[in-house]
Amino acid sequence: MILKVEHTTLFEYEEPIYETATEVRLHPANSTGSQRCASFNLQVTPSAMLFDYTDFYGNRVHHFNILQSHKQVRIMATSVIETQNHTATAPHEEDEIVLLDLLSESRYVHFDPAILALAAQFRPIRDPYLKAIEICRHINGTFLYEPGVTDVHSTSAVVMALGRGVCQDFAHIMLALCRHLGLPGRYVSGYLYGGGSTPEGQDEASHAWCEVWCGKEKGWTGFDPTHKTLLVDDRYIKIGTGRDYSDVPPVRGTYKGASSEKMSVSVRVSALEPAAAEAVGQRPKEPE
Amino acid sequence: MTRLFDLYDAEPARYFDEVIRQDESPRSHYDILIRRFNQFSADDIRTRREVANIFFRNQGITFTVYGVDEGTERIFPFDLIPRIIPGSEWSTIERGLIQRITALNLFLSDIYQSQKILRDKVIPAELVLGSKHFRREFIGVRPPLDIYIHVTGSDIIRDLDGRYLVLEDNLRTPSGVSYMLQNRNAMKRAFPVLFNRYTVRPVENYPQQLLRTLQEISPSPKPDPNVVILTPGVYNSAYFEHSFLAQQMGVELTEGRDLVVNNNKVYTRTTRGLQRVDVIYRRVDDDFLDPLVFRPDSVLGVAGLLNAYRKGNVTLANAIGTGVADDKVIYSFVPKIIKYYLGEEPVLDNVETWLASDPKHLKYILENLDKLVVKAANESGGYGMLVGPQSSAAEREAFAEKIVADPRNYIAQPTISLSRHPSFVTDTEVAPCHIDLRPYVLYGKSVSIVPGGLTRVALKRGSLVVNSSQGGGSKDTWVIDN
Amino acid sequence: MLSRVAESLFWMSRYFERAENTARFLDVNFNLLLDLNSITPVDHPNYWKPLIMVMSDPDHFSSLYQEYDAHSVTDYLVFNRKNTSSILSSISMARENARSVIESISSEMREQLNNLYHFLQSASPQQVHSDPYTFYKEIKNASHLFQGITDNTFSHNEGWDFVQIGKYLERADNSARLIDVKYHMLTDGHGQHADVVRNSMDIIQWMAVLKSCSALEAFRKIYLSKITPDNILDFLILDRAFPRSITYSICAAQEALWRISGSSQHRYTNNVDRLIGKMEAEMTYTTVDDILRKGVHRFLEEVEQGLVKVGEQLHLLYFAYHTPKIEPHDVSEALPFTGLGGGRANWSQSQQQQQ
Repeated sequence: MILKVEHTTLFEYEEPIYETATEVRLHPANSTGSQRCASFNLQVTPSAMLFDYTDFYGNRVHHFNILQSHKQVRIMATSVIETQNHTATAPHEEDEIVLLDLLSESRYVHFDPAILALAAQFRPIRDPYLKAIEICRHINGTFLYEPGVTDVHSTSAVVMALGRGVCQDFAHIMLALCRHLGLPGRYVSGYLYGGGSTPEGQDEASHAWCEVWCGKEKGWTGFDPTHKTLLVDDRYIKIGTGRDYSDVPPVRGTYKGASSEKMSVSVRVSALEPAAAEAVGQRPKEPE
Repeated sequence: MTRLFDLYDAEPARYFDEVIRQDESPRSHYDILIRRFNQFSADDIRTRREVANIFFRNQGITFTVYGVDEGTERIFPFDLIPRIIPGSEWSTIERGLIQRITALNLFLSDIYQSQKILRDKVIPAELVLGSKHFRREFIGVRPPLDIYIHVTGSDIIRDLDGRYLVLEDNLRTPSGVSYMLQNRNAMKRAFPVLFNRYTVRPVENYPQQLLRTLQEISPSPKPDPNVVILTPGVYNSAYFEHSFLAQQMGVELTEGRDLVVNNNKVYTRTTRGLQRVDVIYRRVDDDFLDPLVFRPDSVLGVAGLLNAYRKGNVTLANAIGTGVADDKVIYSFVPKIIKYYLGEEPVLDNVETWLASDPKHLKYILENLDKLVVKAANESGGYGMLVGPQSSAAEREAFAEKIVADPRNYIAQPTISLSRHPSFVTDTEVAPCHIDLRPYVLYGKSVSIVPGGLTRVALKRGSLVVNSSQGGGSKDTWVIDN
Repeated sequence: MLSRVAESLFWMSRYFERAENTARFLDVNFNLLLDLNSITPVDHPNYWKPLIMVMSDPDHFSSLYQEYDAHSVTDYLVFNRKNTSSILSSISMARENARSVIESISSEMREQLNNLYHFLQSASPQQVHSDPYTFYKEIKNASHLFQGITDNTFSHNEGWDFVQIGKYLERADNSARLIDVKYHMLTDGHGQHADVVRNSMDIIQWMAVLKSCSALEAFRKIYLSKITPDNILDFLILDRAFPRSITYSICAAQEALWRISGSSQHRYTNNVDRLIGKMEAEMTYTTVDDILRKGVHRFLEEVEQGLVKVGEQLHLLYFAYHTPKIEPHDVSEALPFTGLGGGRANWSQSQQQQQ
């Protein structure tokens, strides 16, 4: 599929604030085998010089700062991505130390007693892929999707206690279970086409799921514990991966000044005709 | 008249005494010192102590005690009897530290680049990955000259046989170097004659050497790079040292709020506008450097600093993530690290160490808690430790639970009886007190060590704790030509 | 020098001066009441309310105390930490600022600040009421001692200039407020100010105003015993030699600003120099008749507003970071970048991934 994502984040302040410093992780992953980023455009107002680097997890991070006082910051990311169902062929390779690192606890992923108790029932399943999909199915079937009960900083322990949450929370639970059972797992930040709350696909938030290392045969496989389909397909657009949310927050920033802050986010994912995608340009573009 | 050293009881059979040999005769390099002190009357001592005290007070040399109203400032206790290290012994220490710091730097460079030592399974990868101070985010970010640990201070002790052993490597923000410099100034004032009887190697040019080291790692080719010190602020216990070093080097002493990052470059805010900064000698921990990256609640840091660092627009001394190499668990692997990178045997040995993360070691630790000193891997300053022989059964039981719950975080060492040195325990009375040594190592284009360092002394009789936060003092350290 | 250090020196000095001025007003008020004791009941609120009007905010005062009397006003202006301009608050703030630049000032300065702070902390309201003269004298002397120590132990370079600016801007402002309120009080109800002089009670009050500026002797040398409002206004506002007059203070602040920037009489290089130069010129070429024609209150109000503008531009130029782009006409758009508590970064909200 050829998909277009428009992701706008708006911070508004009652009083002028200053010295905004912001990191943005919105550039879709490129050449992962299942997706290609045809174009990416990032616009910031008030205007700021944009810088970028590739982080330890291979994610493209953009950052900027605004010294002068201002009362709002608007960050608009527009990208066009070509996706397909998993095509890469075995055997898959991954660095052993990276895999080892993705077995341990991290800021939002804890091996708390509730996780340990829940993990026990999956232990007998030998095959990594089958184990992961059973875990995924279990979370999808037993946890209740309910926005507003958790916040962006909820840990897996909190979500276990509540039994409810949103995609970010379910991904953290799945990672805790998998890692505890010896399956390296990583958090994926991205978007889902057609999963929006309105028919036009507007007013969506970004999406999160996880990837589990299922051995050299299957490699990294995407699982989405939030949606019944469970497996990641060409409707999924991946931005990047990390140990958990804290490694790949879409926008993270600080500012100085005494003012309350209002944040509004809008995400719109739409399908383009192949010809339209051509017009947008085939080559990845430097952000302006 | 009783002379000062007449009543000195070194108990050389039980302890290694720096001054008195096993056969109760004085070591030759202390002869002059003992003769001189024996000539002093109680009044002489008092006068000289007063000279030193006035010097310290006038210099405002104080440290802050936590937990007291507004942070009371105290003068760091100073002992009048200097510690003397013969040049031959010093050259061993120097060789050992250069070897050790070189190897530790190679280790840091390796684990933040290709991680060969982990792939070769010399150190279990999970120990590095699990270290609180391992900054995986900075893998692949290469600092200028590939140097991570520019300013360090390893703690060295002597065992019963007088062997110098490394107890701890302080690779983050070791403090105390200002005391080394001021102790020397005080001694020169209080004992000018005695000082001249020895050929004491100078320490006075440390600030210049430090500045040169910091300039050498500047990312900018300009001849006079702008170096600043970053301090957590006036309430930090080492604030005096930060302002002292700034004065001595002639650089700005900045707090986080004095710095600002604009377009990926770091500046100080001055009355003449923004001034570009090239090198930051930071006395702020990693966690607090950049609220954008590590600790959102940090008021000490500068938002965007680490991206400027990542880009190579500013150098931080020390680099990010050096704490992984002074983690007490990694410490136990330093002899292997030296062998792995340099192919040499260590010149200075480690103190024997058991790792709670190793099941066999864990069993030994739990069975011998009453004989061991157990330390948390990532704490310093004498916090988070259990001194077995001085603990109650209940304390040991509580500590055992902590160890079992988090074995990666604990190590154990035998209770080592630090060497002892005559020190004033009252105004006029000299008794043996336990000491250690912290030499200061600089690493720019090459490794250099100021001859001497800070000798810390536990001025409470029998106490083993030399930390300034817990009632220790210090003495001047003289490295002499043989 | 670092903006933070400059700003802390400026505020250290400014707060110290503020404490001294508050002590002066209170001291003189007590003296005045002794003089007036035979004529009128001294606990009348009219004698206490103006102090609050000069030094602070009457609404805030009323939220804490029932009445304006010796006890409540003294407590509010000397000891109350809720009043940010009480003597104790001012000295605490001066001390905080000094602490944050401890390596930049002399140890004698630090010691003197600490001495006064500890003196104030151990003082009781009882002590003040039983012997106000000694108490306020102690504070005034402490301030003079601090200034003397500063002049003699602190290098006369940029940092010292910021100390001078802080002192003189505060002093000019305090003098303007004092004259404004006293003039208003003394002319109010009399209609024409010409009647004022005939009232002996008013002469006592005008003398008190002079005393609170330590100006009585200096004034007499020039005007002998011609204590008229015009002469007093002329002296306290326009005299170029008396160190507590408004004009003198503005000139002294101007000189310090020029030393920093290298500006001179005929050429200014920045907004703060332009503004202070404009004020200095206005004071120089104004006569007391001009002031009376304009109205004393209006004139002093303009002086106060002028000083505020100077303070704002000073902040923008030297304490806030400064780039050519930022010269906001609307000062409310400019924010404190440095100073105590000015450095905390807030963490922006994070967006939950919650589809």
